[in-house]
Amino acid sequence: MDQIVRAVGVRKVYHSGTEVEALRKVDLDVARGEIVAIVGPSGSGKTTLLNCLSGLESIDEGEILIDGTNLAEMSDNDRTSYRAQNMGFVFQAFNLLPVLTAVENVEIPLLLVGRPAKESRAKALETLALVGLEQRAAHTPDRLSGGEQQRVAVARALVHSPAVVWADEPTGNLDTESTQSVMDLFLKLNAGGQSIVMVTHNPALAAMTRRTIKMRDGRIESDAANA
Amino acid sequence: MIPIAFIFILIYGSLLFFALRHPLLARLAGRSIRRRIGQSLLVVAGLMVGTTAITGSLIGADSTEASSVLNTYRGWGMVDYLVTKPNNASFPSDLATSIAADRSLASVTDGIAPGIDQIASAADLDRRQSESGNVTLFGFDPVAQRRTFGAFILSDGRRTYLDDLQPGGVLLSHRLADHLDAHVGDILHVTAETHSPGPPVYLVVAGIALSEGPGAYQLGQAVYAPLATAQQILRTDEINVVRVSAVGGLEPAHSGFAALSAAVARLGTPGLQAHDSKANDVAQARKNVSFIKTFLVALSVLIMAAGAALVVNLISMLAEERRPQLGILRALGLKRRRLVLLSVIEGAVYSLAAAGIGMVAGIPIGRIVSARFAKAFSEFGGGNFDFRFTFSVKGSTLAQAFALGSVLTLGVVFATARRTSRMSIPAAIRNLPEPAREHRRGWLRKVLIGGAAAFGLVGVVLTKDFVRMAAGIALIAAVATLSRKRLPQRLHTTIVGLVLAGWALRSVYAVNPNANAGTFFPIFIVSLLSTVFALTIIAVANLRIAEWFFGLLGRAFSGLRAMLRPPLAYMARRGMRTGLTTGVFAIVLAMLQMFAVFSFIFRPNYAVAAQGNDVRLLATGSPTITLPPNVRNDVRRFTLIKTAGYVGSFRSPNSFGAGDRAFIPIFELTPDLAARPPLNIENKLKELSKPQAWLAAAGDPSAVAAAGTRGFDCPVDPVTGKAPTTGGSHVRASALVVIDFAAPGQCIELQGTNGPVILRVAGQQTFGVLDGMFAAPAVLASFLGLPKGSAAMLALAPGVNPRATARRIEAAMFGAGVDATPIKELLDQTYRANRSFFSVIDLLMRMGLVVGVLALGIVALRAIIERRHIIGVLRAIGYKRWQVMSGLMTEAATTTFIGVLVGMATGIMMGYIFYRQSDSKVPFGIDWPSILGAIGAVFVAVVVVTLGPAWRASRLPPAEAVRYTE
Repeated sequence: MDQIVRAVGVRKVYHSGTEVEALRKVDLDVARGEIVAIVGPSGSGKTTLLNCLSGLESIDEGEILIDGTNLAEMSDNDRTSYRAQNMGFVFQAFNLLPVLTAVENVEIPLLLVGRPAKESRAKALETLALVGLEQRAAHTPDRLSGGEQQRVAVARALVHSPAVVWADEPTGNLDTESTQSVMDLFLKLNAGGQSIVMVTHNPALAAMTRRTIKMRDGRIESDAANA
Repeated sequence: MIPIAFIFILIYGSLLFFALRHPLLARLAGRSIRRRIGQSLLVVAGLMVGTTAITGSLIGADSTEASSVLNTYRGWGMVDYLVTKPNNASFPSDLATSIAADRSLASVTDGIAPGIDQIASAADLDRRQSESGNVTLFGFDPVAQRRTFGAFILSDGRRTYLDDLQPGGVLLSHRLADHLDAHVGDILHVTAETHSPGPPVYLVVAGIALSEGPGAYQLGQAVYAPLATAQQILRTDEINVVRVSAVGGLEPAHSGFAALSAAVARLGTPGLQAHDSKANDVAQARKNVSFIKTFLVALSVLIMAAGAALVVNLISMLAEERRPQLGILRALGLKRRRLVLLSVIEGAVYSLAAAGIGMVAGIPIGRIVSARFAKAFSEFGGGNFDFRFTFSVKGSTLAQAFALGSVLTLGVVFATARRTSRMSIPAAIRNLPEPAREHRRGWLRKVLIGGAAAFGLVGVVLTKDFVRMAAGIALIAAVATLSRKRLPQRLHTTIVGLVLAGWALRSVYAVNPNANAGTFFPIFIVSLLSTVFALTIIAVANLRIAEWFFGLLGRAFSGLRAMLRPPLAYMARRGMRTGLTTGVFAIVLAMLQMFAVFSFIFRPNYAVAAQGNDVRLLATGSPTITLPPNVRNDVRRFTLIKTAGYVGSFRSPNSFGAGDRAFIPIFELTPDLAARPPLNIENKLKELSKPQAWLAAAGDPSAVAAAGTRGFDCPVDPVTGKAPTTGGSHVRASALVVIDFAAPGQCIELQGTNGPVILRVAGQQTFGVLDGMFAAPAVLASFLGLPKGSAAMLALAPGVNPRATARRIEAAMFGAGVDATPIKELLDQTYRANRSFFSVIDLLMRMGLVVGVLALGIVALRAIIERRHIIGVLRAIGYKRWQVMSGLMTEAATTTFIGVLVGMATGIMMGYIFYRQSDSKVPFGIDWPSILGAIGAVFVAVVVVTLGPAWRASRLPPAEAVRYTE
């Protein structure tokens, strides 16, 4: 099978006074085009795993291959460039730049990788249309609802056609209706072949994905396909 | 003092009461202060700036006043009153005896001495040096010196009452000795107008008097002679002054002036009059310093305004950092006003600590300020006056500065806390961006707008000066508020900014820069702040142009566009914050820029200032000057000017040097001289051209007519300083004059032979060359018996060295007391004095620059605190560390750049207005080296203070930064 994410023996230790082993020799594969939910109680290490897999945090042991590239061997600079080219992120707190309009927020990743401004704007508008917000392109985040903000964040994560999208509690700040809307969007994108790895507390959302990985105490407790 | 102390006690007392009533709030405030000591220290350091500026200014003003008063007392010594005749005319010495014999004076005076007080020139025949123009011959009665007025202390340590000097022996003040390079034993020739012809009197320098006791009398270049010797020099047996000492030492507690006046009146001698000289001069010294006080307070207001912006940034930074915590407190039930109280209690502790430290820091600043003023005073006097500096730190001043600084700081803290306490509780708890809020339109707002509009309309039409300017600003604010929704925001802001800046600049243009300080400075300060505010809002509203510009660059370099977009967007769309920081820089840079303009336009224009003349000659006591044969061929033009030395009462409300014993050289302005004037006119009555101003002062009827029917009306009474009441008649001058120590339009009052003579200033000649008054022969006729002298202006043939020529003339004519000086040196001396004066402003404004740089450091810290999540996201999606760092530093640099641009634009416009008003012949320009040096230092400092926060931001671990809880 074509692996987009491959983690082998990943160990992560935090040194804040006492040593906390957040990840204990985790092995994980994600296939290209797969949508995976990582669940588990607070402190189980699911966000740490996502951060390590995406290269936001370095690891202490093991190796992580994204589309065949070993992130652990890269410098911070190279990892950053790699993220810019190949990854998209959606966070719980939306984290849009409040001073930029929706379309300006969305086009940032394209500008970062050196795409021409005009082309970036067109692609950003196209992606906003994909998430159903083309009419809200000129609005700043404070004029958007929580659900709309998160859809803009999803558009920003997708606009440069990344190999994988990482989503950390993407519906954690949303009401039920918005949660469903965002989840539908993820499923629609995944149906189009987009690989997505999502951390969530919500078992119902996890159940909507193809596969659920349960974590506890820094280890994968179970890894099963959803019905 | 009392109102601010009362307000301080009221506010801080109330806060203490509230803190005791709400111990939870007090405890929370205390914990917040202690939790992060480093941050608390930073806040205190930021808040102390205002108090430092106030303390420095007030102590500078106190010290300048104390120095001025001290020097006045030194200059008079034990002499409290003078009895003279108008124009320094002489009278029999018996009159002094008669006054002394008056029994009514026995209990109120302890010394009454006949004396001589005569303008002269002095030549040291051994050193072949002479001094003229500012030399006075003082004759003292040795008996009275011994009994009351004290001993002269000589440079070799000896003491003398003048009674032990050899015949012909005199003392020199150390200023005169320095200028003549005189030594004890030198032969001296003093030239003064004499009452009868005779052979020259040669004197011997018996000693050089230190500036102590009678040796400091009048603080200038002086020859102190026994009365008999002075009378011998003037070939008279009369005197021209009676010096009286009141009981009670240097500062007599009870004035005996009334008794003395009555005693003099009883003598029935026409013209003989008593003067309360020391008291009048002390009062005048205090009055003169009121200008300095107003000036320094005005400067400190500017720094306080800059400091207020810094306080807003600091308090906002604290509020942003604690937003989730404050949100939780609100959720738990803490009311908004209690939240404000919590911030204010914490702010009160900071403000008190800051005021205390700021007050201490302000003391050395005040010392530097006052020392520089003393230097400037001394230089303006051409080094002729022995101005001694004293440093004065009064407890009441410190208390005033402490109270004012802390109360103003707390006021800004309160206003900021009110603003930051408005929050969406859920958004604050999760530290999410604040949702957009609808503005409510309450009745209070309507009343305020209506009130502002009504005040504006009435004030603009019916009032003048400051009230008119304020009314115009109120009207603009009201119209701007009402029209906000009718225009696109950017266009609206730009129009409002342009109108406001235009009105503010027009207000400064309309006010006479020579108006009294109380009228001028408030208009100037508010106008400067308004212009800075107006240009800042225009710049901030149009920052999208910068985004567009970088966007153009971004066509070629989209990475650059990506990097710069967030910081530029933050600047453009967080106008308040950008405006506050750019405003700080702009205020300070505007002042520095304006003085860079002044520094340029006050440079002497040698060719124009002295109308092509190269050397000035002064000969006090000689009615004419005949050039020595060996220089005649080098002289292209020789202009002889007759002079008369006025010594006596001079009254003018806004002039330095006014007092009971003012020395004013009067230059006789004949029609010929007026047609080819020896100096440029720098300022004049608006109704007259420059040639007309000269001709009007010479009494030319057509030029006088050009001054208008009200050309002789005094705007204010020269003695009382009061303007006529509505419908009342103006005090009228008897003639127009050209003068360098009072502004055009002002009136001065001198004491003529037959009573007061009121003169109105038609023009102001270049300062520093022929200092004094140019007046028509008819005016001189009002001052009979003034000692005569002469001055001359020489235009040299091309290629002739003025300095060498001046030396040759002095060498040939020193015996007649002729003083020859190249005009370039005189103009340079004035320029140096001007620069010393401006250096005070420069010092205070550079303190303001520190505020600006600190503000940027705070803004950079705020950026990290507020944008922590965003920085994390940017790092996650591919921003490299250097891009984060560069973005933040670009933001700081661009903020500074806008501040610099706004400040420079304001400074240049203000400077140009003053340039236009000054009629200077120097082309308009800017002292670029000084301003560019300051700007360069600012940018370096900005890089230094933002580098740390920007580096910290770039090192934020993205995974940690994106977490939504702290």
